[in-house]
Amino acid sequence: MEGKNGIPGWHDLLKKFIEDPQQKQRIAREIRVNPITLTRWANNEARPREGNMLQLLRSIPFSYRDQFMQASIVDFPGLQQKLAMTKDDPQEIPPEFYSRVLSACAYTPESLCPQGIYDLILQQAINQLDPERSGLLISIVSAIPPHSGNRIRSLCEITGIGTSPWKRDLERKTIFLGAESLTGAAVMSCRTLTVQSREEQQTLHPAHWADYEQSAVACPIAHRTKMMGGLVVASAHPHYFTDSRISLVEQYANLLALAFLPENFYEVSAFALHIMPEYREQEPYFRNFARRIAAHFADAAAVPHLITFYEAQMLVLQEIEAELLNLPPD
Amino acid sequence: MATSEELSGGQRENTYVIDAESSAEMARLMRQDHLLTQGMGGLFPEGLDLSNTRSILDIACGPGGWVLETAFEHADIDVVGVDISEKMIAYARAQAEVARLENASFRVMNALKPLEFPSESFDLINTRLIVAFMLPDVWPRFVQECLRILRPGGILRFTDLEWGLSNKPAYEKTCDLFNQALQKAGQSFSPNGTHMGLLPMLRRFLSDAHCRDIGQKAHVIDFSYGTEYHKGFYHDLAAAFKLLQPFIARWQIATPEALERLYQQALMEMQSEDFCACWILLTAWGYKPD
Repeated sequence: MEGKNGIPGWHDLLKKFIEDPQQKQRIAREIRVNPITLTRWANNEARPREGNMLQLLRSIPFSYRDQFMQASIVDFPGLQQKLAMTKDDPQEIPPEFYSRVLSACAYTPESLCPQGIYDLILQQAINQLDPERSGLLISIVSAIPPHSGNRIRSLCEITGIGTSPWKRDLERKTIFLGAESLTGAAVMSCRTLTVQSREEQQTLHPAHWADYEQSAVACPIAHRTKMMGGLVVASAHPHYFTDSRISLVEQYANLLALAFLPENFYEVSAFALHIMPEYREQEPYFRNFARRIAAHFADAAAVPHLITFYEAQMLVLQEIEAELLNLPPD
Repeated sequence: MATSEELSGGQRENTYVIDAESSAEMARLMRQDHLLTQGMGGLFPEGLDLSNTRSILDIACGPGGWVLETAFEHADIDVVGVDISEKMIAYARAQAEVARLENASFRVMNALKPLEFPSESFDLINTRLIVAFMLPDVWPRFVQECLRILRPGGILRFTDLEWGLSNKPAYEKTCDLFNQALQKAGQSFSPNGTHMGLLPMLRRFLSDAHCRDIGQKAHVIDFSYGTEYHKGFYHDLAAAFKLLQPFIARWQIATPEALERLYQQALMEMQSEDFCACWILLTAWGYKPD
């Protein structure tokens, strides 16, 4: 059904979005309706509730949202107001959250650090950076502690949180990142780097594109000019990172520095990131990852000595990195 | 079994088993809310008909994870969360504002006392994992209060938990010690402290209150090593086991030193490739008579 003056109506747009069976399944799954219902809506055989329309707006491709919204106004006049789809993205972390983080730093038991603190921050960050759940992935990438006398050769993602298409609680494959990555470049240059689309010229900003990622920003996590790694935020949509969102990512990176101990931070001069092998070459080295972590816990229990998951994880990553970087050159 | 009044000479204000003001607990509960919803297969996996539901109350909402998720998925339903902790409610309100969820709201309220709502205020009342604070002798009164503020035909819905099922000794022992502490604290229906003890009671609460069309649905969340929930549950339990130590020690079930040794052992077990464990959750629901 055409809208006014030959401009596509929302039914037509919906019909277009659900032409692709996979898109149709995804949208139906995300808004929790039967795929047949989407077809009925598109054919004007049934009318969605305003709540369904809000969910549709969140599920359709980001670049079509304005158009879909405009096309929906006649049938759903209250929609725009409810969605509050403004260009005014929040530019600051709410002040009361800072006191909450400081309280967490003061009272979280040692054995639950840094996880208990950075979990709190990441949950706040995902809600503020992606309130519409358009598809965002936030990761903390940590420097792998150097062996004595050596420099930092790689980074590794230690935790992440996401909105669909990513899972909330990420069980991502562990991978070493180096100078070839956006995070690596951000850490080595001590500044925030952004790539707004896969098509963007990448001469200055290297990028390693993972599934669903269409744009990304990487920001160093720093403490007294030393760095422990970076905060990486990736979007399922191109050009997601407005100036205000980039500023917000930087604020969260600064806040995340509180989750880590001073000894987790290194001078910039200590970073000499390698070009790391592709994931398929790295994967075999991670096959016994959990077993190696359990072994460190067992060793600690035998002494006895308390060890946190974070510490055990870092030890294993150090070991694997050393094995990986002793690979013979191609 | 001690009653709530006998235990301290008066009504205990906050019977939650973990320090509710703890930021670590706040972060844990937010993460757990998502894990449980995902593990159970959604917010209402039993397939309740919400077509006539316009208002929902979540009692003991904690930092508001369930409320926020429900408000997001059901934009045309007003979802209210209440909790005894001012800090949790302040955090929940901040999250709702940041997430721009205008249909989510929160209030400070003690579920052990009369609920501060007019009669027939809600279409659905929800609770999840209130075994962590609800007292056995308060349950009948609590159910009556819920029914008072439910509209005729409204739904009263409880989800709760049994844990401890595992092939690893320290993990099993830790859960066992908690169950014993819960029983000693007068907060368990399990006469010997062997279980948390609430699951077999849920249907009885609803039938005693004359709810109609009572239903039950069980859920199993397997977080054994190698499953999609392993990592999330590992971190949840690593925090929970640590934060529960003061409660267990307070009831003199084990010394702090023994608990810490057990804790380290449990962490190691949960990282081993042959670790197997699951949680059993039960959702029970009933309708207020018209």
